[in-house]
Amino acid sequence: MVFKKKNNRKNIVLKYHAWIGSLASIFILSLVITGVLLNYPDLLKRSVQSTDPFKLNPHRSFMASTGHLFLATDSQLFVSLDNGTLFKPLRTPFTTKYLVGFTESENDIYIALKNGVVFRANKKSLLWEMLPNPDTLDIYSISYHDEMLWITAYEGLFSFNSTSSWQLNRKNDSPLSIYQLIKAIHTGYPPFGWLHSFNSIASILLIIIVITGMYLFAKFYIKTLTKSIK
Amino acid sequence: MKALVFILINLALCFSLIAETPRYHEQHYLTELEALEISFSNANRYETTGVTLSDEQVIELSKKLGWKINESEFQLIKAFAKDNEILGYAMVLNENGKYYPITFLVAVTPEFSIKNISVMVYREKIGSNVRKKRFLKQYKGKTKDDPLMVDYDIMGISGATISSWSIASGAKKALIMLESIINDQAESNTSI
Repeated sequence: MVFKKKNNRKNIVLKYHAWIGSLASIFILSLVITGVLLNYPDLLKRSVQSTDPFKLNPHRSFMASTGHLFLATDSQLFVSLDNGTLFKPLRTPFTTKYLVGFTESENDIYIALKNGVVFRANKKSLLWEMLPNPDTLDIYSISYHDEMLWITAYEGLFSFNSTSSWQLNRKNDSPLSIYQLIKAIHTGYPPFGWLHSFNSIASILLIIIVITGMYLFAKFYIKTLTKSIK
Repeated sequence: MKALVFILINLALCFSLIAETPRYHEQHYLTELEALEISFSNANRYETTGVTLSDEQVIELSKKLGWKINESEFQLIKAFAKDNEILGYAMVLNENGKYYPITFLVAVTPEFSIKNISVMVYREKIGSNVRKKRFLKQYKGKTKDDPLMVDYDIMGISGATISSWSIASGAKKALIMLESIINDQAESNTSI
């Protein structure tokens, strides 16, 4: 009698475990698929073009001393010479969604892009050229003072003048917080950049396991169902 | 013992992934002739001429392009068939990647649409996937009137964003320059 009771309890646990597991697998599957796609954002972010910057998610603006009002959107850079009434798109050799900051010197405009690239354009011609790039893949901000260009990046504070290359003035020695550490491991961001591809491979394996698991569950469920009907 | 060796191999693998790798990593994929032969398989001969642009021409072309052209001297390559029919034009570019230039050949048809792009030398550790067909085939048939913008009409390569920009901006530069140079040459020939 005790044996039968135990067996029944085991069967109930197994039954619920299988059903809850199959429902959870749908949740895991959606997380894994969206996660692996978010690991490659360039594949998802196909941009659109427009003559109206306010249809393209404007996210950064800068008013230069010459009266040029620059507006960066997800896909294009615009400039206005009449305090923002009319905007003209500018051709750029970079994708403006990475733009994190503007600054200016007497003759030039500088922009910094998140992925570690700095561009300069003469204020009159507005023709862009890439500067030698600092040794970082993660720029936070840019400023100009006393004929020196300054950027803050993941690695620390860099400076640059036209006669020298980029110098790392102060190294970033901040310890990673537990939150940053977990986020970096989860997303494969620096200093765990090497995990990026590993995460993708693991996600694909997980997708295979979840799908085969769901298939096995369905097969087993149909089998037991047909057996019980018989 | 086997388990220990297995653990050691895995640890070595992990450290090799974490360890900082040198930035400079020059890889030669194609010579100029090989790149030309891929682009113009029917060509019988190639003619290379040096072109020097005046400062005014450089400024004018930069304005058309939207960004600065830093060089004024180029090699213009013309591909001819057996019967001397022109098959197209080509130009070798050295466009800056994140740290080092990427050397590639842009071949265009006589109607100035891109026939082929071949990466000849890549000098960085990361991003050499821009040499792959799946990226380069997107340029086929593009003309100077196409935007040639990464994330718009060109899909960039993940992990090689800056190199993708360099190839796209170089392709646009080659299209504008080749058309302008060839048209200028044709005009000066007719005026003679």
